[in-house]
Amino acid sequence: MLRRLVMTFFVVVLIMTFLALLIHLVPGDPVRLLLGAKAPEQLILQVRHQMYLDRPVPTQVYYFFWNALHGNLGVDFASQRSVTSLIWAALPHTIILAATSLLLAAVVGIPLGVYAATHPGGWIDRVATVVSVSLITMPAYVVGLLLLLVFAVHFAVLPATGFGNVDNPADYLKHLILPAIALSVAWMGYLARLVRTSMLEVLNERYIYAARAQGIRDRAVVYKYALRNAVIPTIAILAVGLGQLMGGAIFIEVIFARPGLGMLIYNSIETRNYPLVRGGVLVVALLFVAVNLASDFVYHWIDPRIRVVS
Amino acid sequence: MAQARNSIDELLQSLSRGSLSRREFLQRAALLGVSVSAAGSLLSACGSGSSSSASPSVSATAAGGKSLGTLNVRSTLEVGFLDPANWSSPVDVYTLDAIHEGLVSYKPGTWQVVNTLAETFEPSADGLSYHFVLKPGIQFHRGFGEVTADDVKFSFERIAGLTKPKLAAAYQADWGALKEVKVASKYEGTIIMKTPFAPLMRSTLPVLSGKILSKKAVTQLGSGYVRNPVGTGPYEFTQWIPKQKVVLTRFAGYSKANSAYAPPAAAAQIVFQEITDDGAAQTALEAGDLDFAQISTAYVKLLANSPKFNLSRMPSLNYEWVAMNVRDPFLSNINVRKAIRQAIDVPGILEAAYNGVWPRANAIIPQAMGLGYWPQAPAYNRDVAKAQAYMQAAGVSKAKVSLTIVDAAADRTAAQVIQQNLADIGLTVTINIQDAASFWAIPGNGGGGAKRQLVYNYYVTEPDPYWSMEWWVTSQMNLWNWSEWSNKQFDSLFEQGAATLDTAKRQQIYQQMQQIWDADANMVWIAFITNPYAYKKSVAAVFRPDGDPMFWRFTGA
Repeated sequence: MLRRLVMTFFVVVLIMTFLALLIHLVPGDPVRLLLGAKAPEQLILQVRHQMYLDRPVPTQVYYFFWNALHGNLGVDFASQRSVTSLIWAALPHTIILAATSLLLAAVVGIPLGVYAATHPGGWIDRVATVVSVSLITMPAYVVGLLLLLVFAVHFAVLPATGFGNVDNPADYLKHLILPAIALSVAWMGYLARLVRTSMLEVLNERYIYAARAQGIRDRAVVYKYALRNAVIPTIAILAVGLGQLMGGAIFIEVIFARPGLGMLIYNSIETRNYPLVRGGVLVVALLFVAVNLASDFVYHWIDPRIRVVS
Repeated sequence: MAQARNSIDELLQSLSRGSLSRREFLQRAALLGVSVSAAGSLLSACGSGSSSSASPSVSATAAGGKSLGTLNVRSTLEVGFLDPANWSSPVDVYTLDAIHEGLVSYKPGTWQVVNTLAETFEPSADGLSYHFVLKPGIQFHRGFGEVTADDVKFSFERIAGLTKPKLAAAYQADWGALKEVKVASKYEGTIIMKTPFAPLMRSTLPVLSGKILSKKAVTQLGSGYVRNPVGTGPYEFTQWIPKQKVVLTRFAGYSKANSAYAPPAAAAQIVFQEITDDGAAQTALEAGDLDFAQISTAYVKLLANSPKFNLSRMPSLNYEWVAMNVRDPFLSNINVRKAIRQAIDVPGILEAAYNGVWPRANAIIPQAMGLGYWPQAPAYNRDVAKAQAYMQAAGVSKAKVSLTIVDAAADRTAAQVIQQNLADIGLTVTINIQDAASFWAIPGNGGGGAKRQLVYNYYVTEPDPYWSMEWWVTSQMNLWNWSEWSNKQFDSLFEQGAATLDTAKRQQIYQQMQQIWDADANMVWIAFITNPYAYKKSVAAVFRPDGDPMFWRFTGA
């Protein structure tokens, strides 16, 4: 695990270095693009100074590292607010969306996979296979648009845009339903397939036969003995999934006009708002690294075989 | 029971404010145990007559249009700077236009300049001074006191860069000729100019650069002012959640400075919701989340006969064009340029790239500008035979030429049409698609760099021909003059147009400039950019002659 931690540290340093140099890797003058054609030279110089662009490149990298370590990701020149505060305002909505989607995916996908595995070859299994493969192939933005047209436009039972009133949990939840379903659909199918395959392997293990031979009820065999082992690879996938969903949430946030980190980064890229792009990407990268590291720990903890090898 | 009654009261208040639709009211009333018939009676008593979901509540007011509850409007971009000196996006313009007022303004729907904060406003005959007397008792928002001549002095000198500390304003050029504002008394003063500047009465005083700010508020709030603007307008700034929305609330203490030409503000609140994606905006419009939204040109035909929405397709003053670099060895031949101009199918581009929504431009100044329009500007319709004749005269049968565009869907479509058109006259066009950052890089490197040949692009402008022409003079070569064209007479007329106050003379000047330009054949005019808007039939929208919505002037229909 120590080696894993050291590698994680180097990955983070590499990401931060790349982000610090990002502004120089992309062609064009970001300050002129930000300020427009009519901007006077004095304003351009002022903004360039604020963005540290008048310093040598190594100095700019140093300042980025130093400030980031102190929680200062710079200032969004457009709104004059700190990048940290903007990300802090947007991030919870993305995390909630990603986590809710994953939870939905697990709640639907895992039981579907278990049911298919316990009825192999039957019509239930075949239907589940078709459904899960279909769900995997449906991009989140397509599902999102369909859900919008049906539930927000045609039936008008759910809202189309925004995240509602944060102070009203019911309203917030109402605005979360469609985006969360859209984002979770592909993962439902994926988890169903994954759990089915794992379960089939585990259900053929000798200790399962032994458990059945001892007269243990089938329900207990499936859920207490088999599923606990079959779900282990799923946990690792869920960790990767959380990171991926936070990235994939960009499209859903745009379609549903739902402010979040994805939308923040997307809009910032369009306007070449480098402080926001850097800060946003850094936070996403750090979260991805942290979640994967955490899943390694969990994996390490729940799988006795990994502990024995370690 | 008391709790249910309180809840019903809350529902009724929400309905009246327009934050609840009829459908939602009925659903929630049912949850409170109110029968359908009783709920219907309550609805009627509230006067909620609209049948569309989530429409703003509409009731008659004393004078002018019907009132609106909350007006939900799409904002295509995030708000940039809520400061007239440094605004950066059209959304800033709409927001600031509702918050601020100037000495004079454009009467809604026209280019007629009318007094707003000024009781009297008298320009001198030589254009070197403008005497004003303010209406007494006009109050700034949030208790920042009364408007005085000192505020006028501060507002204009601030943008001009004459205050201490000096502000580096993006729109300093609007007040570039300002010498000072002399204050004679609490409400009286004179704007003194260094030189006459004719555009002052069109593109400075009646628009954002002419808005009056509270000196006290700007000084007190400092750099935080851009997030807390203070004006005298019918709406005051209430809330800005970055990347999400801006909320304006009707100013209860409004001093009715615009009462001579506008009814009382009808909407209780205006909410600008940032929705950058056209598809998401269109869905939100159809779902009832929005009352007014800019839509894509592709959506216009779908909504053309909609029973739920009205459409606005007023062309702006901004213009789309193809520039030919006259300093390029191949394009320096005027016959080649004439051939290109004659071969390009402009109506075909308008149909393919803009779904036929944008009107064709035959010269730089649109009719909507109200000054400088050249009605006899020739329309060069595609004529392959004539174009080939020009090519023959140039002694060219086949050649390669590059066309630089920014990476945008419509631009790519237009470029493909041009590529096909020019192939018919022996020109092989290489389309050079550039990222926006490199496309707009200056000096001299924009639009494909110093070796650019053809460039497909657009410029925005203010409501005065001066601002349209300024980028095409000799001093803008290697900067924003992407045809690299230089003409002494054109430059001289440009200077005259800025200094001449007589409208008829200015009209002649700008028409002559366009004629000179047309004779040099270094541009192919494509279109005047049109931003289509869709809005609910329960909303009566008001626009400037250039198609910009004036949200503070919206009422219920």
